[in-house]
Amino acid sequence: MNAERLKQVEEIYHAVLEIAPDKRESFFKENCRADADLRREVESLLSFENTFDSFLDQPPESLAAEMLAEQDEQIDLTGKEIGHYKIIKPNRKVVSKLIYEVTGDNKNRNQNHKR
Amino acid sequence: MQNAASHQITLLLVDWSNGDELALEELIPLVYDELRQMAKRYMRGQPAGHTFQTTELIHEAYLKLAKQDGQNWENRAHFFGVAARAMRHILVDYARSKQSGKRGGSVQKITLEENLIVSAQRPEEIVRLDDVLTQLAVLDERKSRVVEMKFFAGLNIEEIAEVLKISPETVKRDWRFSRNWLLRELSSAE
Repeated sequence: MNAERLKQVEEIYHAVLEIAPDKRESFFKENCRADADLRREVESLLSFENTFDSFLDQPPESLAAEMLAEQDEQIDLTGKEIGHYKIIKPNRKVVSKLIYEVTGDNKNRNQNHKR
Repeated sequence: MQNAASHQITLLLVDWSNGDELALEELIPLVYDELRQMAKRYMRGQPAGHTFQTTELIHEAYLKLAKQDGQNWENRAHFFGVAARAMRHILVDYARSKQSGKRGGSVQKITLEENLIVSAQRPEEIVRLDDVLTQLAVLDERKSRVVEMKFFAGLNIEEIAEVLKISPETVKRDWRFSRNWLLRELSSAE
C-alpha cells in the first residue's frame, strides 16, 4: 500500500460510516465497482469498528508501572549471606525474579530462597 | 527537573518550533531521561495501589518545566509532542528488553521471588505495535503521531489537536481510522 491508496481507503471508509448499514451495499457497488480490493480493504477495517476492548483501547500504564517498579528496587542483597551462600553480585532479571550469583561452602547445593 | 536540563529543553523546543528538525533529535533523549527520573520519584510519592498514569507524569513534567522557565512559557504543545515520542521509546525499549531477557545463564543461581505486577499488554504486542506504527508513519505521519500521543502518552483529543494544530474532529477521525488499521495489520501479522 502507498500513501495515495491509504487516503483513498480512508475516504471510502469515512463515507461508509455515514451511511445506514442497509444502504451500504449500493454505496459499495457505486463507488468500488471496478476496484474489488478497495471494497475488501474498507470492509476489513469496518470489521474492527465494534470492538471496544482491544489492547489499543487501554493505555500501556500497567506496563509502565511494572517497568518503574523494577527500576525502583532499592534492596541490594550483594554481600549478604543466606544460609550456606554469600551473594556476590546481581546476575540478571527474569520476568519477576531477580537472580543473584552466590558463593558458599556447599557449592553443590541448589536451593530456592524466597524473599 | 534540574534547571540546566530544563533550560536546555526550553531552548531546543524553541529551535524546534522555529523549524529546526535537528533540535528534535537532541530533545528526545533529554526528555526521555527526565521522564524516567521523574517517573521514579513520582511513583515513590504515591500511596500503595496508586495506578500509574503516563498522562499525569507528562503534565507534571510540563508544569515543572514551565514554572522554572517563567510564566510566559509557550511550548506546551511542543513539549507534549516530544514527551509522547519519548514515552513511546521508553515503553518500547522496556518491552524489547523483556523479550530479550528470557535467555538463561550457567552460574549457580538462587531465585528470590518478588511481587508480580501483571501487565494488561504483553511486551510482544507493544513491540509489534511499534513496528506497525512505523509503517503507518511512512503512509501518513500525522496519523502515526495521533496514535503515539493517545496510546503511549495518554493525551486527550483536545491536547492532540493543539499539538498537531488540527481540529479535534480531525483527531477523532484519524484515531478511529488508525486504530482499526493498526488492529487489522496486527491481526493479519499473527
